[in-house]
Amino acid sequence: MLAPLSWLKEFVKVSVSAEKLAENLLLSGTKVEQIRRVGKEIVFDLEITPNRPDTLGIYGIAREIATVQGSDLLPLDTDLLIPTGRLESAPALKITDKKLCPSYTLGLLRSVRVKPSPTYLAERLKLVGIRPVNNVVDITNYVMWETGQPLHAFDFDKIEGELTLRASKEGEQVRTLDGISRKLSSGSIIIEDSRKLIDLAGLMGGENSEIDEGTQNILLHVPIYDPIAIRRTSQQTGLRTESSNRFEKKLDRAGHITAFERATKLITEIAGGRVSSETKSISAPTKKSLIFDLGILKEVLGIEVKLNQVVNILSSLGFQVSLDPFQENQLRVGVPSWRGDIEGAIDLTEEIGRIYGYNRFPKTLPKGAVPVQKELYNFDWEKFIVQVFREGGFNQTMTHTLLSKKTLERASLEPSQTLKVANPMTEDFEFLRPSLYPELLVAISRNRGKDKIISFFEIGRVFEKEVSQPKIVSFVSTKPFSQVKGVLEKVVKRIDPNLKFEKVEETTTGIERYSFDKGKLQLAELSLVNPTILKNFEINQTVSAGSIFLEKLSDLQPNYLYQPLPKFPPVIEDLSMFVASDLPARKILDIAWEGTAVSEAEVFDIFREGNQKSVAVKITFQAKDRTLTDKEVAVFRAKIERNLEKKLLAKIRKA
Amino acid sequence: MDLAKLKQQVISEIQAVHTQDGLESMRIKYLGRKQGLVTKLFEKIPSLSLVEKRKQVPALNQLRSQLEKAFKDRESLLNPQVGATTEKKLAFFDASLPGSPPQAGHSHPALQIIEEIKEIFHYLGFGWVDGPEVETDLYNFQKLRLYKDHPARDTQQTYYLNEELLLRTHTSNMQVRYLESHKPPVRMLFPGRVFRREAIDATHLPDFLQIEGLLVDTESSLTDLLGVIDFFLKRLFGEKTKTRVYGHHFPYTEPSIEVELLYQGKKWLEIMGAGMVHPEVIRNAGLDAKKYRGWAFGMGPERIAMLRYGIEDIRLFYNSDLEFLKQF
Repeated sequence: MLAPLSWLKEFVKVSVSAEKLAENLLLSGTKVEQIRRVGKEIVFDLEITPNRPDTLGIYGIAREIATVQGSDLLPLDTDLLIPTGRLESAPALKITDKKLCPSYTLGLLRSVRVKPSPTYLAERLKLVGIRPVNNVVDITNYVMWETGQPLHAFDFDKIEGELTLRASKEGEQVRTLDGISRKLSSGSIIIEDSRKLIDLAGLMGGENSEIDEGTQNILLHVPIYDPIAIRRTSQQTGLRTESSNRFEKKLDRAGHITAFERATKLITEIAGGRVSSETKSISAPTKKSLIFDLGILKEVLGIEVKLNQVVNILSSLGFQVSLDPFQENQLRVGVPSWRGDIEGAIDLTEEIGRIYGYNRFPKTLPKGAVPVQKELYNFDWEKFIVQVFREGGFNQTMTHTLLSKKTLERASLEPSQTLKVANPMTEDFEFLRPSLYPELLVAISRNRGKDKIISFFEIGRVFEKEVSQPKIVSFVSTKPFSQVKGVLEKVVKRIDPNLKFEKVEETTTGIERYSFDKGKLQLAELSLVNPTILKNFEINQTVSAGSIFLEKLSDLQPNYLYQPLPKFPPVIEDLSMFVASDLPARKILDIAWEGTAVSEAEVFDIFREGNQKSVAVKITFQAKDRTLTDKEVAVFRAKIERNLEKKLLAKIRKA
Repeated sequence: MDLAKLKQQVISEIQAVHTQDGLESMRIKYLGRKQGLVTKLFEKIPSLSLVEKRKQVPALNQLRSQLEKAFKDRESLLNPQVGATTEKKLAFFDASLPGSPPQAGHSHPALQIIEEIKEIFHYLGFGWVDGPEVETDLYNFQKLRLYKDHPARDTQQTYYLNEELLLRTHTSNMQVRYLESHKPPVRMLFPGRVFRREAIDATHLPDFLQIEGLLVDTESSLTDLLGVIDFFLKRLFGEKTKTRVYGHHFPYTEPSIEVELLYQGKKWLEIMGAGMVHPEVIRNAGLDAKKYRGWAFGMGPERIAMLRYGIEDIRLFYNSDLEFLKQF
């Protein structure tokens, strides 16, 4: 909302600088976003929240200024010379559904002379961004800007027969003032005469009844429309005007009368002409009053406000305050017609708070006891995982939740199986990610060339078609598989040291997928990314990718015991063997672990030779209760060797 | 002696050794200057015929260099920290050179802000929980007094999945959701991702982060909210931080306020919206609005990170650019 300072000053005295005034307005809740200087004029650009359409008018803003400054608000000049002579009756407007237009004022002015507006008026409109057209149209716009109430003037001589205001039917057309023929859906408000639609009510007048140089007689119509109908029409037609912006809010219930009087005065003064008809005005009930218990101020705001301050603030904003002689702590507050946003005591509390000034409030801290909610008992797995992955060299990132069809397809994911938004803005942000991998692969791709080793992880929600939206951790890395697995294992071991890493399946997306399962619950997965997919993302390194299914952990507590430190020395034995080249080396370790007094077993070398592979294992023997003798160890070792030979057909290499 | 066979034998022995001492004694055994097996082969060269020499010398040289490499590789594998390069490194020791960065991964600046916010509010007794991103119109809008066709919906351009489901436009969807299943007193943070259907530029993205705070109790007032905000911002930006508060409008809080921060001593910048939870919202959660009151606030972690680090383009947070992430 643009408000020239000179215009505001017609209604309120301003004795401070524009900057100071802007600050005062802001601190009372009317936000000045910018102060513009146009020639000698100063124009405030205000952010008006949707609850305050009364400040979508200069007069409403002036009222705020008067309240903040504690100065007087001058009345809007609507004094009109009382029309002389016999008045014709006002043209009838038939309204089929009262809800569409609960209140209005209308009347006829005859013998106007349409010509360009006087300079001051035209210039003022330009300052607020409205193009001057002619004096009559300009005055309707001027009064709208001044009062916040839109008005419309028809060329009365272009209207044939009786006027009807009704809801549009699907497919009806109206050609608006901007020359565009608009096809309507059902439910828009229109006005028609006996032959044609003449107004897309609340948005823009019809071209066929517009004021032009030849216009002599005008029908001035100042309505209040059903906000929802206006808003829907605005959305359906994509037409948003200064009028519709106001009509879709709760306008001053009595504002149509004031605006009619003000416009009539200006038209007769500026464009000549005279009021020739009775004024027809239909109003919905405007009185509304509230009982205001002052105790709420202390309860909600936390401060004591003196009674006279409360009365001053409310009166200044136009509320009618009366004291209840029997209830010391209660006020009866009449709500002014322009404050449709005030519904209860809590709204009055806000009015007092914002004008009193929040920056004058003392600052306190919550008084109640610290609550204990059940979430607090859960182990923070997310925090632990972030720590492990960061220490493991993974960078935490965030990628977009919405992605493109192209990205899905590059990752071999099926768009038809993926949730999508119904109203995408661009095709880059259309589908809800079913997995974090596609965008994480994009992340690797985007950084290739910068680093040899690229590792990312992300925590976020993924979406399945039947609208489940689990939160997961996914990670990708160009590190060797074993190193990635090592990081994941650090997390998994904290969940349950006995979890086994199992091959799940050959999938379409990964070469082989492995998973950590607890019973039937899959807690984590890990795989190498399929080279075809990597190629789609222009990645020419091997990439390991995995996920931890966070929500399945939420009820688990870490199940991790420390190993007592050994009291007796270890005996370390190396064991080398040939096995079939496709035998998972893990099986060798499993057998080693089964051996007597084995406290550690690890593969320290592995290489392929023909169709065999050589595996070297380091086994640590250590007893809890004594120092092992060489002889004992030799026996234990021999047993492991026999098992390896028997179960895995290993050929033990003798040193 | 068959050199190929010898090579194979030595290499597999090298592979089998796992201590540095063992490796060293093995090296002496084969390459030792006096007794080394391979060294001794060289000693035999003078006694060979010319033809033999031409054949043996290159083969022996090759064997020796291959074995040397195998020892060296194994050595660095067994102890990558020290080994052969230590002496060289010491020779070039220069304390004035910049330190080498730690090998850990980097955190994300906006997520780091969320962690800081959690920590600050944890001190004040707040917990946190995440919420659904695909949300119903009911919890995102209607229960917060943003009824269908409400003009305030314009300020929250919305992605819809269908008539009923949408991508939440704010973390305030958690207010009623949480209160429905948790009896007050409540002190909670709701961090998470939100969505707005807006054109992308340096300050707008289709998805971004928000963090909501909610306190509901039998006794709570705006002065508490102001005190908490003041503590929070001073803790985040320093004790001398200047803030100001003014009235605003959110349909789900009454009174509503906005908070600005004096940025670099010269410019007031909006940092958060807040207010007393509207009694109707309390009622919408099935609670007695005469008994319970509360306050809520919401803010954007990216925006806070932008202020703190001087970042000018919000898109950097979602690009996964290592050059960017490595700075945090």
